[in-house]
Amino acid sequence: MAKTGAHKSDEELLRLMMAGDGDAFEELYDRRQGGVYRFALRMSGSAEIAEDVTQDVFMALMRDGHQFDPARGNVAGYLFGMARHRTLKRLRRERTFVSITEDGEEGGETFDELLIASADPFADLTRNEMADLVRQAVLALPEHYREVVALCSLGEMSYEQAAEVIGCPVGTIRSRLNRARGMLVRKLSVVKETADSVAFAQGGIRL
Amino acid sequence: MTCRDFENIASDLAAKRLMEAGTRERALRHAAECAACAARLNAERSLGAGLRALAERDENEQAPAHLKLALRAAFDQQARTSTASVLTFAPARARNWLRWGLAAAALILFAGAVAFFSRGVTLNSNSVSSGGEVKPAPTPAAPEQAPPRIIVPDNRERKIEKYVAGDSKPSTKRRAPRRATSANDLAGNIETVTDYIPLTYLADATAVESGIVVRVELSPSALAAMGLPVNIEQTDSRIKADVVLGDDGVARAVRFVK
Repeated sequence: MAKTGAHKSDEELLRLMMAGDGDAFEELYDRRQGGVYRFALRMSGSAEIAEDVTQDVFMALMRDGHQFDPARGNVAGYLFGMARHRTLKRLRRERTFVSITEDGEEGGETFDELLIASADPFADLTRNEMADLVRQAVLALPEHYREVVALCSLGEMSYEQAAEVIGCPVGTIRSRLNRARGMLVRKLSVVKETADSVAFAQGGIRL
Repeated sequence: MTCRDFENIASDLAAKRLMEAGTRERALRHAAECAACAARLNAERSLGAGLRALAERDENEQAPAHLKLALRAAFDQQARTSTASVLTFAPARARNWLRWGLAAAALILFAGAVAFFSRGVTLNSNSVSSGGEVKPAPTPAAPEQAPPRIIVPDNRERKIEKYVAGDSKPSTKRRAPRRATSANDLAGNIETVTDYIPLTYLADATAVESGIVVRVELSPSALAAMGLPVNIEQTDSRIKADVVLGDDGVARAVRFVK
């Protein structure tokens, strides 16, 4: 099939692909692989897992693409749903990461007290250092909070789209995200303090 | 606005998401008066900046190029070797019709092949004289379908002619078994087969990645029950066929054997 300049919808590409059109498969892959890969990467912190998940998702699409139901959502949501399922399954099998505890279980300070203590956890950090700290903090979140951060805060998905992918009400997404952000601030404060202590100790040694 | 109300919209406020102008104004006024909520807003803004930094850094993260190549190869292979892509995309009811269509096509092919073989056998039967001597078989009329392909070296064609003529004799007139080295016995191990006839829509129906070839035999009564023409003089014979089955159990091609 010759590639044309006409923009085809994901649904159209899926239909063509299921009819055996390899170029349609490639176009759909090019369009959606990045989002799927990054979601798995942000959830797992592992490029290897992200690659495996991406491969599994598109292999499953080849095999089970006929199960896609436009009435239940769009192709992107269908792909992210498969990616989520496979990533969680892989993480549960490997149990690579230890999540931080939820509010009230870590330390005795209230959330507001922590906020006042470290209103800006990124003060004096470069952009790259900031990104590294946030990545560590996100990976330390419990899975059900991590996934809403990965989808909405990092993946720029709307609450409605995330609710479709996860299969829960929009209100649940909103409350999980709110709670996740609070946990991130608290976690980042701890990480920042630790980093400052290490930097101070190293500086002392150098001197 | 209370601190609880502020907490509910703090992240939206920090992210500058769309909200009512009045609500936004009241929230900012509350933050100016409440130290805890001001700190919360600052923390939300910092977190937002950190998340944006991570998102921007990851923006170009993609699956490695070799994955695309591998997936495309897998797709092409599946498209070549499987009927799944088209069959499964159709609704279940449509797939049933497709199966019945394939079955009907196979039945028609069987009928054509049986008719072809029956005609050949009849001609050979007529060539046997009353004395039981074998006369050269008359040249059959050109078949409508692909003629049987003989899988033997050229120098054996004459023996095969004898075999075909001898096989047509009634079983009661068969001679006693002879040594296996005789010409007829040698020829008796040689099969005459048609070309494989595709049973699917695929261009190269026999290009199956892996699968099996199953030899089947059908009795004349079974053929008659299916409405196929049967030579009543050959009621004790069976029609042999080789069916190519893919790993998915779907028949891809068939050939008839004599």
